Amino acid sequence: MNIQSVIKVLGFLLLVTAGCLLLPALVSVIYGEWDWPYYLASAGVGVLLGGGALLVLRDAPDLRVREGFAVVAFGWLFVGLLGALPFYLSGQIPSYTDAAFESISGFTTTGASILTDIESRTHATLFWRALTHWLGGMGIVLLALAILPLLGVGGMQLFRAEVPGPVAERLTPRIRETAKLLWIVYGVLTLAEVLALMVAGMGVFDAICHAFGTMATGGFSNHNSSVGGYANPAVEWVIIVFMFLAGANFSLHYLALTGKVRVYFEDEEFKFYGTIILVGTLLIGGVLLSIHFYPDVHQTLRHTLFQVVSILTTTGFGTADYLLWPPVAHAVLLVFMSVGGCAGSTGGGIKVMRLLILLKHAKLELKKMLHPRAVYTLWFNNRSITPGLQTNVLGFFLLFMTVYLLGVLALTLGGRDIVTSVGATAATLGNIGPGLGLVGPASNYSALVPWEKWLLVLFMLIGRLEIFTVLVLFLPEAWRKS
Amino acid sequence: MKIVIIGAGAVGFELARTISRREHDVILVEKTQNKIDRAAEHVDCRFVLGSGVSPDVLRDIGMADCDLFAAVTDRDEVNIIACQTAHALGAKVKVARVRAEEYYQDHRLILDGIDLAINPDHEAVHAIRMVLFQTGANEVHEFAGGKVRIIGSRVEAGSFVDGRTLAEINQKLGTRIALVTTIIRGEETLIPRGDTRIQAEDQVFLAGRRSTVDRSLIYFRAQMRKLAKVMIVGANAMGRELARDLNEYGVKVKLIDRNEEKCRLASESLRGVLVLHGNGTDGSLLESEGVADMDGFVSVSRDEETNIMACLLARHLGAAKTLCLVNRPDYVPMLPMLGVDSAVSPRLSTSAWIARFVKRGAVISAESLGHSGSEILQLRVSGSCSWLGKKIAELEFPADAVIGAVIKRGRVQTPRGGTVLDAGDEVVVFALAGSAASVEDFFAGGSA
Repeated sequence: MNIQSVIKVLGFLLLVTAGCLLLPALVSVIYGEWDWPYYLASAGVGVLLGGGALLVLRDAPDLRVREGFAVVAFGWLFVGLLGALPFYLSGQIPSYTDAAFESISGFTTTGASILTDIESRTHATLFWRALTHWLGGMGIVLLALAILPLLGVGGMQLFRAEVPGPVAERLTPRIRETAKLLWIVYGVLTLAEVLALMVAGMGVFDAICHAFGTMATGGFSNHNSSVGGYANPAVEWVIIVFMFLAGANFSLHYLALTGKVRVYFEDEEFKFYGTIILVGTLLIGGVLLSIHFYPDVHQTLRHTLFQVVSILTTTGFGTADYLLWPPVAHAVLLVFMSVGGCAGSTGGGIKVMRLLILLKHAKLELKKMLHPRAVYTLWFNNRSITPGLQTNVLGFFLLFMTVYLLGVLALTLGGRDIVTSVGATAATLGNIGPGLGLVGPASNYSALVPWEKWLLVLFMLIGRLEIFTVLVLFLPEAWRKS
Repeated sequence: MKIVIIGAGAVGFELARTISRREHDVILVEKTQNKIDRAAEHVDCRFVLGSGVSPDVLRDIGMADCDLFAAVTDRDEVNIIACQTAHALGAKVKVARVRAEEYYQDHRLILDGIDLAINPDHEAVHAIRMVLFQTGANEVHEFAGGKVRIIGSRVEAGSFVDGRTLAEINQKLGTRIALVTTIIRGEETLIPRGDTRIQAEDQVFLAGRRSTVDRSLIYFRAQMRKLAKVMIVGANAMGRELARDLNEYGVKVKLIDRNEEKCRLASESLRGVLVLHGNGTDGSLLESEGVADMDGFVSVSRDEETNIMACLLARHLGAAKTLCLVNRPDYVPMLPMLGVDSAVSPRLSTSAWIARFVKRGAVISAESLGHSGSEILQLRVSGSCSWLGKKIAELEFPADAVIGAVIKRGRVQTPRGGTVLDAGDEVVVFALAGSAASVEDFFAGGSA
């Protein structure tokens, strides 16, 4: 690995982040608050470190395959650590561990918070929290690819390492154009949601913050009791719709925006994604109706659908405390936490596409029992999935479950109860936010001790970057010179 | 007519042999001396040693007066370039043998300079499919764009026609049964008369309007079945095309190949087809995959002996109908005796196809019937015939031939004794070996 070229590109990323830090400073000035100097100072740190790295290492060679992983993994870590600075410096979050947790939870679109009193924070703090979601949702590296003419050929590697799902599709021959298009689609949908939320009765600031949190499938809300705190059914319906869109493949949205709306109905993954939501909602909704948990059908439907979509897409907004629901709801939601959104969406988790490939693979194994000599092909969207990709998906699933189980083991080793350990690991590895037990939707992660928080930060990064990108750095081969 | 053939392989050899029997100038271009020596023993034509793509060679032969240029080597690219070179030098009709499916767009070449491209595999698949779907038949020919159909079928013991004379059958069924034009009994081919008695195991050929012919088959079989399951051995281009074709018609297909790479390729291009990695002559594999329930078993691997053995095995294990691909003419006559229902030979049919382009007086097209040496000819009645206006029963028609169908103004009729032929009508005639020339003369207006 050529560490110099890695550091050079990391410098670029820090500069981009520093630029983004100017936006919350602007918000602070607009609202006449006092904390804008801390954002400028943080941006200054970013410019100093990033610009310094660029100046010193401007002649470093271009990226190759193995550097791509390091750039993306360390890029996310350093961007997250820089993003924590204003929280810490301004004293809005007094401990740096907590600030880093909040910032990386934001960038990885997890939405797990340690803030106990959200409503008394400054506008700049709330805005920066939401903005970290929005930047992390489509990918900070992808943003850099879209706006900076850097990286050359190594770009595809970065693209693949950051975009969720087993295959990164190019919409155009050039990666930079693809990155731009995806960001444009993302921006258009976000703008649409801001307008829809304002029509539904939300103020402009809250609308922007929630649109950022929704489209990135993040989950930070400006309210202590999340979206439920607004007690506005219209807002909840708008957010349900946009969470659903954010959990679908953005390539489909791009094609739909160019007029080919039927792509949704031809895409196997999208159809399966819809089916999962439908089945989960009917199951949980049916149970809630049978015990008369809510006074009427509309409320039951709205609350069930909201939590199901929020958890499946790994957003993590809440309108109800699902821990008060019967245990079967916890089980269903726990499974959904690991499933996640579609490939090419902003959601986390294993991804619907991988799950579908796993199920099809299992079915073929069964069929092979009947026809031992048969040569089967795994079909997905009328294309054959190569054995190599199938192995990749199986390997992903194995690593995901291994990290998951090790995470539960580590937390219980430290003395946490099993429900909280399972919930916290699933919720951070899957980039959801609210988990089970102590870290459920009505409470948050503030009660955890520092080492637990750093462990969960690692899970968030592993989950967002889809395991391989981070774990490959633990191989000694990845660090060799050639 | 001046005809130039490039390549003296199986196709070129057979083509040269077929058309050099007639009065044509045939020039066979081949670049290896061995093949020329071998061909010279059997074929009476001019040989040129050299490359068929070389402009010098072609110019020496003379392209300006070349009426038909057929490039039939076993290399697609050579055939294509040869045709284009001949085109540039002024040859009239250019025919290329091109097998790779990727050169085609909707089964046509879009290249300049090639009037017709023939894909032997594609033609063979078409032939196999026709025979498979007509579960009662083992040979199917079509004329006049499919309006006239000729079907060969083996008479089953216990069927309606078994043991009856044609006169009895005609009396009982009237127009419900198509015309029985030719019968192959053992080694002998005969033209039936009213008192000819049909026996079990006779190979009969029916001719007429497509629907009539298809419906008539039930009288020749003890029972009919629908094509639902087919097993194919050989996942080569032909096997894959056949599998895709049948699968699109809703037939359940199992495709077997012993090469794992080919299996994978087939599996990735054929959704819904069960691809099996194994040997087509592995009895236990065939048995466990249910060969006994198969309505059709087709073996199209490159190895002809394997194909024959696979078919024999499948028949033994209970497959309803077996077809195999055989390119060596020596094997073909003995296959029915062994119990293989039908043999398909892409190379032979390619040469037959090209031979149709050679103008033969009144002949519009011609196909060989089974492997008996007989031919089916489609001819147009010339205005110079002296017998115009007479009834068929009064004509002095060649003895070894029979009219199977008449096409008057686009409508297919069954010829009766009282039918009158006019100039411009088309007829489909069965001509036993050796009588084709006199049939041609008859309709061209040569003799009365």
